[in-house]
Amino acid sequence: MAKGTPRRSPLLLVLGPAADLDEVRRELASFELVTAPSTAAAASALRASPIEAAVVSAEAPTAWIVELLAAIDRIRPGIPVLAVRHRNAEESPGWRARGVGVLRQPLLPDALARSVSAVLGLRS
Amino acid sequence: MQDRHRCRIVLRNRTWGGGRRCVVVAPRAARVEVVSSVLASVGFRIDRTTTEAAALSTLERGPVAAAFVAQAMGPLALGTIVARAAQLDPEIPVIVLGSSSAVQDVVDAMQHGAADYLPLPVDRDLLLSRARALLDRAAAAAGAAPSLQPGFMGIVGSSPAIRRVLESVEKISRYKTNVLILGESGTGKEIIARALHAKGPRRQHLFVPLNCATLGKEILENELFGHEKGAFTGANERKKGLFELADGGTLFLDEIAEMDPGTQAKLLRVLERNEFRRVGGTAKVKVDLSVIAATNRDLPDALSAGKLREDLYYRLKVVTIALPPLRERKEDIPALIEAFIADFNRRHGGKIHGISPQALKLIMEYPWPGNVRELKNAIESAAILAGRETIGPEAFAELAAARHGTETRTVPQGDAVLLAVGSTIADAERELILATLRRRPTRAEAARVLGLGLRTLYTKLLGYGAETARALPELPARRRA
Repeated sequence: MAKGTPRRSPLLLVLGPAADLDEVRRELASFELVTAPSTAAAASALRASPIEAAVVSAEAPTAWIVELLAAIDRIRPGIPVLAVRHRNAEESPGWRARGVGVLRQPLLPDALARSVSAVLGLRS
Repeated sequence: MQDRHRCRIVLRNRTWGGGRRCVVVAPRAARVEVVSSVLASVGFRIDRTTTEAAALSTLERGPVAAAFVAQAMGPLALGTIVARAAQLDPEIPVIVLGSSSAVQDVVDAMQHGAADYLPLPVDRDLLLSRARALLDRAAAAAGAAPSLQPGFMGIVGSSPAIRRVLESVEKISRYKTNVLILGESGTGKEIIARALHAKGPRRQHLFVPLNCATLGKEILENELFGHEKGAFTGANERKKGLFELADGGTLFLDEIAEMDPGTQAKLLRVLERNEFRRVGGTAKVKVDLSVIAATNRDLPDALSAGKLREDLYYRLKVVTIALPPLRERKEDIPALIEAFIADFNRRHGGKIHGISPQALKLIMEYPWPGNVRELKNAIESAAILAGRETIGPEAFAELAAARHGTETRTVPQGDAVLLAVGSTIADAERELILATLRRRPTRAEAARVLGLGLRTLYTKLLGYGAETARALPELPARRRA
């Protein structure tokens, strides 16, 4: 990085139905975000931008996470995925091994932002 | 020169801790000595403990700059220590010293309320830089509660009515108290509950909302109190209820009057004793939380009908916030419309600039029985269907028709016509004519009762437009004069 250049904030991909993205946007205001209302849009964003982590909103169907993981494996393998899920939602057994972190609602204030920072901190 | 610079950094680092206390909690076997020695080398006093009980008493002994807790302590101990630290001082950063670099371990620690996660073994420079960032942030945030202005947590408007609500929220939020929020459906009761939580001393803990109308008695009690393993068929493991989940924070119970009276009695006991038993359990579970309850019911009616228990009502009503319906703060409508359009544009990439004056007039005249929620839906629907950058009155044609329909349906009571103060003479005349038409078998007879000629009545009906004609019921052919 050139001297004097401000460090850019990490670029995150946020996947979820449009109506569900506001809360995630508010929570992750300190990050640079690319939002995707479908898995096809998410795959395009992964191709087009240097995404460092992906966040899935609570209302995104489980199948979207499966498709997102497949797209990540193809396009940008290894980036972590944080999935916000409802309190009693089922969790696929293979997710943890594939670098998915599941946050269960309700969330503490800033829990998602702190999780993203800490997960990205592991990679720095 | 370089050596002098390095020397200054070292000296500054040695005094950085300034004798402040850091608590390091880890089982004896955990290799956290390096953490203690690095922190001590920059001037922190280290309290090293190996058990949960010792950690809690160390935290309670006095001010602590930061706590470092090994993940090897286990999730229960970790959750308890983090929660206690936050209760004592919400700004104490708790850093989890992790046993792995698994994403789920990091996320679990953050969900317990940790400020950061460092996997062991930890590098000296990384430890110091992350600790410094957290302590600087904590110092900046100390004592600073978020400011409560219109716009906070999505509260829009500057009318006297909404200002009074904000003043109440400001005063009430200083205390860890139970609150009752009253208001018609769509007035924003959950937003106010969230604002009370976000502004108050419990803001570092969970805000847990629950709509009591959506769940049956058994499921609701299971959600609230949790259950023990084997409590009923399918209870394969112990499950925490929302009271435990919200411990330290706020439980928001919407539509409280829809809760079964038996469950209301159990809720009352929790409010009085701060303890409860899980379903199928015998042990008492202690909790410390605030309950915010809300209802859109008319309280005297709900009490006399037995929908809301009196003892629970008196327990909750100590602090009450009554939210005004939108029709009593119409001056906020332009700001609300602006906020909803901005929200629509942001979420859907829209390019709507605003609404036309004629559309605004229609909106201002409508009584909005569904309050802010109904207004928001109407604006979003109009924005979706708008063919240009400004939303015109045609987008609200149904609103105008519904208004006439609503008034003629709901305003007349028996043989009377009730008019809101502020109605015009023309409004009064129209309401009287429409109400009379509904009660008379023919338009000719309605004209006679009204003291009008039939031709005059038709002229007036034509003047009210097609919307009014649509709002009138179809008259049988023989009645059409």
